[in-house]
Amino acid sequence: MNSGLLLLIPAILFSTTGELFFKLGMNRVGGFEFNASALRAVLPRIVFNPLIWIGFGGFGLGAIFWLGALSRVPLSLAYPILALSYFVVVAEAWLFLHERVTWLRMLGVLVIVIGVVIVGTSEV
Amino acid sequence: MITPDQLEFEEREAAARDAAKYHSPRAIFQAMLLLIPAILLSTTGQLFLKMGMNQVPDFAFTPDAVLTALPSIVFNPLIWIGFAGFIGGTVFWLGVISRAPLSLAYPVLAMSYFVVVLEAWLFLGEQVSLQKIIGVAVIVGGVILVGLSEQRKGQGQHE
Repeated sequence: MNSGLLLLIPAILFSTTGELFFKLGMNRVGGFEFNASALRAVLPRIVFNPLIWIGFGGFGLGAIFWLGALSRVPLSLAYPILALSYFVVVAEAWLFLHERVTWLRMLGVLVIVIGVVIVGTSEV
Repeated sequence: MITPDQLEFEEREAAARDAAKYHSPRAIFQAMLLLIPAILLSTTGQLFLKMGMNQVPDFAFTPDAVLTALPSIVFNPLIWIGFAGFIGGTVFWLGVISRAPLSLAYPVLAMSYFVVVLEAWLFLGEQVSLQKIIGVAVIVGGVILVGLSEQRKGQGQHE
């Protein structure tokens, strides 16, 4: 197997797990309003939340592996594979956040992935 | 004796209580509204990064070439606007996931494909092939299915 394709595995796992930790962090922070005083109050709670930092760390690591993959395989192949992230995020939300995931939702995610593959393999 | 099954059940019950706290129908509705600025800001950020990088000559990924290109990237105001868009988009995204389940919000984020292709066509004059239009239409169809799955789940919640 092409080493660039193998690099896509940690790229997807790190960035999706980053998303998972973002959600865990925001579950702790809670919903906030979008006005100046509420944002000022909530900002330190977001910035100093270790779960949010782990999330950013996951994105950073994912980006490094993604760039490594891109230097080895063409974008028109790498990008559709990256679309598997949609499946992985939903699977992680089901496994670790115990969100209810119905068959209709999985079907919707499958259709999205197919659409990304169509966009990603178009030449122009 | 508590069996693993019971533990699992209690864990799921606790998760469901948390979900009820964060993911009320009202909170999910707000989350879908917040997704609009989240997507517009991050895609417009992407647009400005592209406009900025169109002004920077292509550079090879060698330390020398990157160092030479770096000033023209770092001091390009379009690049700054692009990053500001990303930061704004991230703030709204955090607002989204504090209100809605990740398994709903993340797939709906795929609407970005539609917006990026539209913006690239409108503002950058990029050519959009038929295949791309079909792909984007399929993505939008998938997002609609994911949205419907939330609605049906919501109706079944009081069983």
